[in-house]
Amino acid sequence: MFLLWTPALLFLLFIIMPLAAVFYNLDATKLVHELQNPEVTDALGLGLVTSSLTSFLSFLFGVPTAYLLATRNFIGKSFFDAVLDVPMILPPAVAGLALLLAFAPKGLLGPELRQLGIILPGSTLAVILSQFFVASPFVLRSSKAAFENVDKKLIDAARLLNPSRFRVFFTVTLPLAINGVLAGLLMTWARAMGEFGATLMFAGNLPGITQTMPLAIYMLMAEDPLASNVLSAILVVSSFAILMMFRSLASGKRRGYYDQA
Amino acid sequence: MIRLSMIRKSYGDKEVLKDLTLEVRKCELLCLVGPNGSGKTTTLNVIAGLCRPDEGSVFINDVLVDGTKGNRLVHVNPAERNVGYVFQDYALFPHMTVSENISYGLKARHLQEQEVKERTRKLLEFMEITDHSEHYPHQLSGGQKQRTALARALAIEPQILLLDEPFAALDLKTRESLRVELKRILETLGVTSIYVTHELAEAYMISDRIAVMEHGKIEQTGSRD
Repeated sequence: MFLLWTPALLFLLFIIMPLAAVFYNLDATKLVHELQNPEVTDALGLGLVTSSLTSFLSFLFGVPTAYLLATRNFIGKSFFDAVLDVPMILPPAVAGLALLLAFAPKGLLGPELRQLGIILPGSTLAVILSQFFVASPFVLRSSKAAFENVDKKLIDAARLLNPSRFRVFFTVTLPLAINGVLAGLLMTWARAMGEFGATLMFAGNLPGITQTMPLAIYMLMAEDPLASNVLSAILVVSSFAILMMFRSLASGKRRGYYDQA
Repeated sequence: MIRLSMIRKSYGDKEVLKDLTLEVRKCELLCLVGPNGSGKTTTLNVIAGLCRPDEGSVFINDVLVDGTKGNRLVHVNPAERNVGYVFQDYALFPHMTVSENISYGLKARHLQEQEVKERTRKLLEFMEITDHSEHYPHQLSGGQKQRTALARALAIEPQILLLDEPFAALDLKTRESLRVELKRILETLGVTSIYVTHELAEAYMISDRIAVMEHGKIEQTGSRD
């Protein structure tokens, strides 16, 4: 017993100490005060807007791709599949540099983008692209697994009754896979909120334009430690909330869908 | 009427159907009997259009639904074949109530809302599951699930009904009473049906004619006498 509890409790203590320390110096007045600090509100607002847009884009591209990978066979599928996972384990700094080399004005596609009047570094769009690059694989993975788990017989049953494949997808396949899709979206959203390295490299650190919460935490650490502390606390709370939602979705027995034989 | 002629189907190296030829007459109930893996379910899937044969042709009421016509490859969409299918483990939509399951095919066919309601109500009554109309499949007993699956298949007023071991998961008593009822329903509706089972005794009780299937082809057919 002792041999199990000692490492387990030390482990928990080590994780919980830093998390608790984030809240140690904070009280309601300080929180309210900092929530009027434009640097804090700008970073918070930008973070929320960009991660939500990133999640939306990940849904738009990730769900059809996941469905394609889960239900069709084609040449080069496993390569296709593996490539889309690379950003998940790539060091974010490398991701940022790679994005620069591809899309910066002097990058691979730079001249073409410039002709279209698009200069990415230093823009909010670059923040979204950085987040999308590193965070979209979560939606893809989770949705693909969810689509693979939908009983093929249910889809067959629907195809016999419904002439439109499109409507079969929206009335049967997607509702049955929705927990997995939503769980993936939550993880994408959380990962996007916390994105630091790729954003810093590719988008830069301009308050109000590209400075999301993690960037602001880093920049404000020296000049305004309290602001940095408040932002950290917000991220800890939101991470915890996301995790709880994720866990309830992942255990997903709403209405006992999966109980039936 | 259903006519399969020289159907071949392989999955990888495995030949599941080998020159399968079979005819089911109008309003007839044919039992397809055979051991597991003999190709019974694949035969149903080919008729339903859920699985495309590699070779051969399928006719439903003299209309070619799979095969070649001149140089043209024909494959009619499953939903346009007007086939009712009762799957082995029911395959009820778990996120829909009994009513929603039954009306799914009617809504997909863009029927008037009033007609959808009316037909669903009649089927619920006919199958004696009105009390469970707002229940989800996981709240039903095996027999109730079976009735729902049958009601869903009949809702689209199919010309063909395919039943894949419909009573396999039920206890003996439920199975016997449902079997009698099924026979009555099929006779009332006069629908051409194929009933798959691996139990010869069951086949004798219910069918007009029996076809014995083995290794992907029909070994023998005969009336039950």
